[in-house]
Amino acid sequence: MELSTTGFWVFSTLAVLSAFGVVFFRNIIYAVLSLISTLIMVSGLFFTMGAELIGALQILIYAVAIVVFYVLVISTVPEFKGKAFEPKYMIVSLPVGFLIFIELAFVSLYGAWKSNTGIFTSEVIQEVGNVKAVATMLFTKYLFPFEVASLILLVAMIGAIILGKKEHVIDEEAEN
Amino acid sequence: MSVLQEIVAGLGVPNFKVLIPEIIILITAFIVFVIELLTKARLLITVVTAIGLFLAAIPTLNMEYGDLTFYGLYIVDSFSLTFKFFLILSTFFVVIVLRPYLEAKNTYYGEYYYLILFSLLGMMMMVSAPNLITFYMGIELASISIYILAGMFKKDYLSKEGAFKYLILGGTGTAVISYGIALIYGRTGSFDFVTIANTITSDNLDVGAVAGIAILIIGLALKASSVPFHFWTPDAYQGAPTPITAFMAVAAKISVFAVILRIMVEAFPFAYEVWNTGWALLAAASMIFGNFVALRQDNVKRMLAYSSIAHSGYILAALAAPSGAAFTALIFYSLVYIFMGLGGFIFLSAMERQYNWSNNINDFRGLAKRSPILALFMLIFMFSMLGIPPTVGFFGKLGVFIALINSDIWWLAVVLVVMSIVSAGYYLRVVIYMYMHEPQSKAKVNLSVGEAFTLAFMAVFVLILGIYPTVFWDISQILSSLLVAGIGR
Repeated sequence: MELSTTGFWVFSTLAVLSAFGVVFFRNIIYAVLSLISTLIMVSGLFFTMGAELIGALQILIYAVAIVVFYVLVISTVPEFKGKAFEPKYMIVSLPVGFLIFIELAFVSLYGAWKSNTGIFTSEVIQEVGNVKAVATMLFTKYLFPFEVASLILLVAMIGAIILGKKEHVIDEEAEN
Repeated sequence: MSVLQEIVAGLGVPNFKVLIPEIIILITAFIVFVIELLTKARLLITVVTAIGLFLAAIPTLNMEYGDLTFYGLYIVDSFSLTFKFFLILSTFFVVIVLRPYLEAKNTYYGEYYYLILFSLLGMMMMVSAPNLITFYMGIELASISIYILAGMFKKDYLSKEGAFKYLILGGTGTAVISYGIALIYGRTGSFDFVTIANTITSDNLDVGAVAGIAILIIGLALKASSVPFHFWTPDAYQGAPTPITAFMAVAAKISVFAVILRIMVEAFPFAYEVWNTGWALLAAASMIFGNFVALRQDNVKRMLAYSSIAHSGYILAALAAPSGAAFTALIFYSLVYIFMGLGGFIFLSAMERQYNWSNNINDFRGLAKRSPILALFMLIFMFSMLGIPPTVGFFGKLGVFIALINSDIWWLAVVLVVMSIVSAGYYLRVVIYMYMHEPQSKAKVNLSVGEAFTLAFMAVFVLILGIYPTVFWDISQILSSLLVAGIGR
């Protein structure tokens, strides 16, 4: 067996096992740890397919930034006792989740995807690398949305500060 | 030369001239930001914001040449310019009534003003998006600012609850939209509306395309607060500070309707069977549910929130018919909804400053005896939302109704008429309480200049447009024909 095939089977098996862990662990910290494991395994899958940029971003953003926030929230909110099974919600969530799964699987297997037709053919990617190709598009054609993303971050930061700080009432302000 | 160097060498400088309104709004937002940091001069903040909005509105009216700029990611045409003008106009009215309201509620923050401007900027991006990425960034900027604005009433539990629901469901909506965009990108290999329109045609509608369109419709329906994705609407509208509710119910919704129309017509013109059915079902559900639940509300602000869900239904019903007349009706109804919606919500915002007013229906008792003019204004807004002839709401509903009949969609037309009759139950209840009951208090009603001006402007405009709707109807017709002509450009 080739190394990439071995890598695929190892990573995908572990990803599926950890995904089961996310769903079935009663202790919420274990569930979050399984989530980290799933995300790292998925990024491993990206690496075996030669998409090193997405693999690295997966680790940086999901496994590090987002999951750390989960842990932070769990540890700061004391009443957070994850009630694992609330049957009345599963009446809706199971069929909907199953439907979305079927839809995604069907679309993927059915091959409705368009094959790669842009300027970035696999030869070009071989020559310049993923990072350079993505960066070129991000800073030329997609410059405008990229700049707007900075505004979104600014707004989110202002909002966090306003909603987090103590309420000052007008009367108190007048007294001081 | 390598491929990358060729790409970079082929790029020119974007045409910044067509971006002047956006640039003015952005600069105003930063100026207000600095003023708010340095001084506590509240009047100055309002005045600077209003001047900035006024300056930004001028180029939307007299810009001569539109353009597709930023490498095909930003389009400035009559459609986007018209909607930008009306968005700026409605924001202007919200800004001038905001300060008295906040001072009466003892919770003033200068941050309101520049968050409103950032949100407006996001909406302006949405209406001029020829590309799914621009649209996505615009809707994110607009909704994140509004989540914050809705929750800034920090003493009030309802405001927090509403903002929290809005945050969670709005975030879900954004996630659903990005899933839909991903499916469409996988199917067509492009984010540009033109390429998508050329790739998805009626003979190759496969699972990928239909699933992408359906999921995108669900996400957009959540943003337009259409039933069954409306759960955030009543709580968020009731909890938010009332001028902000007016902003959410009018500006945010109008921009969502505009962007829905542009995406459906320009990106999926040949898949119209799919979105016709989807929007028809959503519109029927919104009309039926919104109107029947509104009947049972005693809080007028919450009643108007449900009425705004019903109005989403009336407006989106036009998308059930794939014809120019239907698109015209959608644009016309969205534009005139600005006047009724702002009128209704700003009336509540002005009344909330009065002594002992809780937005309950009982507070409306005998309002006609306390302040005849104000009661007359509310009567005009209620009649217009109900759709009684001398007001403009009638023509909005008539346009949608005729478009539906011309396309032989009788069942939806019947639902629209029947539900309009049902809505008389709660709109007229307000009128009856105002005119046929004895007042409970004799307290005089005090309005600020901005509030009086806004209410008078909206009421007069609703009447003028009701008698002479041709101007707006012509504008809508031109815009819809431009939109249809722009398919596959």
